[in-house]
Amino acid sequence: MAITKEAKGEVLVGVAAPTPVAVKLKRAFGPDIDGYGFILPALIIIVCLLIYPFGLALWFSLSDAVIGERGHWVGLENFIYILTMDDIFRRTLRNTLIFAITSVTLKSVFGLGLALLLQRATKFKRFIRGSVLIPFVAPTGLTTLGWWLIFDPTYSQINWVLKNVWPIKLLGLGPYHWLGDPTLALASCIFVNFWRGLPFFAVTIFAGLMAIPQELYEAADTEGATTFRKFWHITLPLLRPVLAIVILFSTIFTLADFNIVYVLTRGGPMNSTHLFATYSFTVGILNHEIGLGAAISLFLFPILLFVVIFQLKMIRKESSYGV
Amino acid sequence: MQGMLSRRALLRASLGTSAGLAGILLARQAPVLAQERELKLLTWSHFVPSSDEELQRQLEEFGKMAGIKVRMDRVAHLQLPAVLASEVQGQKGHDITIAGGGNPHLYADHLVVLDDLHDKIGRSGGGWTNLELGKGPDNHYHAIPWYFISFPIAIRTDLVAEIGEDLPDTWEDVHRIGKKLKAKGHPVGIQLAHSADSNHILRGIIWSWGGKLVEADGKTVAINSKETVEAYKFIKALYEDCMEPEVLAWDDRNNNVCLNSGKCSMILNPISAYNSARKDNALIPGTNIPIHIVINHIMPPKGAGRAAHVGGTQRHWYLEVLAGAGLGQAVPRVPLPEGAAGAVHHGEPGLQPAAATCLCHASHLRLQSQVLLCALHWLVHARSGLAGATHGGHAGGVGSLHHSRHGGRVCHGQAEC
Amino acid sequence: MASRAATMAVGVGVKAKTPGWRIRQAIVTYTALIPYVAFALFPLYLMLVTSLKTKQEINDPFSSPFWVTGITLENYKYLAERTPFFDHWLVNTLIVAVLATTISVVIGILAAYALARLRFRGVETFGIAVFITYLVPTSLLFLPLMEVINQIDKIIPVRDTIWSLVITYPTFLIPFVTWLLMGYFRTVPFEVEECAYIDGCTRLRALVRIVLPMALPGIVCAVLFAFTLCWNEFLYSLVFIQDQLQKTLSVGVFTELIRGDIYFWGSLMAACITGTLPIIVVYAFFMDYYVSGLTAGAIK
Repeated sequence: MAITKEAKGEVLVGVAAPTPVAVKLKRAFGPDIDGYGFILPALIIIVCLLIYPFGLALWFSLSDAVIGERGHWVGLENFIYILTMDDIFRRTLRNTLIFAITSVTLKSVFGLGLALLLQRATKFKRFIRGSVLIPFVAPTGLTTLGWWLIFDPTYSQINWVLKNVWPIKLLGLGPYHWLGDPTLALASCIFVNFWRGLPFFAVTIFAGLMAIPQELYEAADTEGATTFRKFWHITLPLLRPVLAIVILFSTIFTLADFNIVYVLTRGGPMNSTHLFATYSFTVGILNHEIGLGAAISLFLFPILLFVVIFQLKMIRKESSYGV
Repeated sequence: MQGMLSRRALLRASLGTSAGLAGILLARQAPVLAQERELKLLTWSHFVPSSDEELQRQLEEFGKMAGIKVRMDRVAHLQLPAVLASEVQGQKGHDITIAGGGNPHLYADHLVVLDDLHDKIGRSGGGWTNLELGKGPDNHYHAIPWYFISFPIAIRTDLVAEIGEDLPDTWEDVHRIGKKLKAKGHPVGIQLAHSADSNHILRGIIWSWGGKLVEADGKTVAINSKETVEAYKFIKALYEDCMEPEVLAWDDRNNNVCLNSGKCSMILNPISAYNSARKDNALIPGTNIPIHIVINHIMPPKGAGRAAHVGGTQRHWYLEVLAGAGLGQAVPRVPLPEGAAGAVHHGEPGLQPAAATCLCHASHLRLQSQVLLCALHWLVHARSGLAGATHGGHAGGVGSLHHSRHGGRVCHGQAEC
Repeated sequence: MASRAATMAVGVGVKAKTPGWRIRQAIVTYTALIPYVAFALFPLYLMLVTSLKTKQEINDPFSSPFWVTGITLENYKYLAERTPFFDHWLVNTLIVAVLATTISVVIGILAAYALARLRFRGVETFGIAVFITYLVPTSLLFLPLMEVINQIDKIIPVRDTIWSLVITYPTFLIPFVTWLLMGYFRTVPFEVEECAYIDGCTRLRALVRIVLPMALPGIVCAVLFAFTLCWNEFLYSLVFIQDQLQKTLSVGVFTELIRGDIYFWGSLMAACITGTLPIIVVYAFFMDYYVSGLTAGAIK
């Protein structure tokens, strides 16, 4: 940190003859002092709008702040409350884990499948890639409203098909109350998340597939390897780093999802589909308990940290494969 | 890679235009920022849209009279809690806002005291039927009652006649008739879900069974009682025998749809279902008969042998209720005294004071006098509107429903928009 | 990158197989792709069909939800005439997206360049900080940010206006843009830049003149992504803006078009389609950049 005292007269071999002060600065801060100027704007925003609010969130979570009132220090009371007294929070924790694990698993499996298909499809390439990517590009808030219509108890097109289309109607299924039954409602939210996130997996894995050297397959061909063996012994191992990164990203953004649940169910029925984000919104803003709301959303942080550290370790381990 | 050059050119062009566009758009925004202060009123998006237009007209008329800029903002009723919370948190917002039941309690510290205004309006209007409404925990008025909307049962008279029944008077009747009608494919449609009306309806049923949310002191929570349990047992039976599980996922419009599509036999809702059926000329499926002809409105029934609690009014009093409760997800921080809501409606039809509230925001003390004037002015209008057509279909509906309490049934002509 | 992908794709088919094998392979591939494409598009299709229906048709439980018998534009007309959809929400979203993207990309370019090229004390720490903030989701900080907006509001009136979004959107855009561009800048050979220094260019000049043009695909990518993220953002807009006329598309449609008690599916779906269209058009033009950004974000 401190500028070290340098012996006078020690002159660096430089492009221009530097002043002694400049030399000292370079010694202390590295050769490219102007770098600080480059990162300054980003640093200001990160400090003011990320680190400072994070501190504020910590303070809120340790206080009894409500809407319109500053609040007083209450120590860990909020955390103790949500951990020991709050059934909905426990449900939320459970939901979040189910939501993230199921959705990420589905996305990985089907995303891998879609990526393999995309790689094989040589005709109508643009159209196909374009269409399967749309769910990821379109505003989630708006497309989820479309899904809301699909799950609507009165208009549900799925139920309409079950009831009216021959031969499906002979099965006598439905009508299902997609958003009225706690299990189905969570499943519906997961499904929409799956729909939205699938393209991200597919396209990224597809790019990972493209990066696998073709020679490996050719070599395998000469040895008469089957398609499955090639997939298992060449494709999958070489995809691992990509998969790990994609899963890391997706896990984080699935854990933190807000739009889908908020638009589809608002956490209902009977508070059975809340995720951290929707529950902290409900508690912090609609119920006015900012302190409690902040405590709930902060619970995301250790989970995220765990996921990041875990996944990054995986990636480090796998990086010997090199991509 | 071949497309690179042209893409680059295209990109440059598109960046150029978007920057230019932003410039124009910004210029467009600028005058708004520089505007002088205006009187801002916040209200909900009324489910009879013509009501909003009338309110807008009244407000503008007042603006002209007082020589001040006015502005009316509307929010969907489910957004109201978030909007109020945000304004209180930011200590900045509208001068006057619509709000419901518990708000004078919840936001007492952030609202202007309106004792003198309350008194003045009360005297000029022949007195209030309930003096608790609008009071905060400090026993001062922070809100002025404005209007209420009843929550009648909208029922298919033809279906009831088919099974040889009379229109229901008690909740037990509803249960008996509903059970028979469900067997014929026409279930009862009362939403039991994360919606505003669910709360009003359930609260109304609890009250009809003699349960209450809090004691008369306004502080002791009293919802956990034998009466509430009995009420819920009834609701459960009603759900199992007369309804379909879809009501668990409904919001405030599905019941209307269900009734107007010819499926549901009865719903609990103000007259919007009837109105839209009439406007859209919805038909009874398989016939040429407009469905609104066979829809009738009757007062909310009595429960458990007690006198009818006229739940509708109380419910509506809560329709613009705040935070949490409105979304069906949490208990409001400060519950409204049960007595406050309980007695709103027992006045004579001609004397109903408005039961929603008008709040004046403390952060605009400068404008307080204008706010008071304004409140006074349009309250007078709104009040006279209750008896006439000022508040769109609703006012008409409310008026006619009151007659129905005495005369028995609602006449369709009176419930028109 | 794109061209490399293309050669690779061709490479898959290089294996000397019989024409019959190839045809069979193609049939299997495309048959398997159909459900994926249908799955991706069908909610949008339903939205479009519903938006073209009359109220009566939507409410008729016996008419098919999958096609429309009498096409009507009444829902779009309603949107244009009776709601602030086009004249406010669309305009607001555009302003916010353009401004926040511009701010973020400019700041991101500077930071990414420093991270990729420059050596100074603390640069690694800064890099880690950027990576961590990249992974902080918006739903973690919306409550305190609301308070920050209120604090800023005491100096500049930003509360309840689109400016609160212009300020806060860069918080999730800058880390992303920085991370994305860092990868691109590293691919630009240093030697080219060095020549510029020898010619007497300043650092900033070299960045603008030499590095940026070479990293242009990356910048297009960053712009596209940032723009899309802005267009799609929901939570901040929901929490920070309550003024009907200051809302952005997603939130405006969700909070204002779902009205208490009346039928709204037609206009709601019309709004969803109209709000999605600009993004799809932008993306149809720049899809390759988008794809390379998507993959670069994860792979680099």
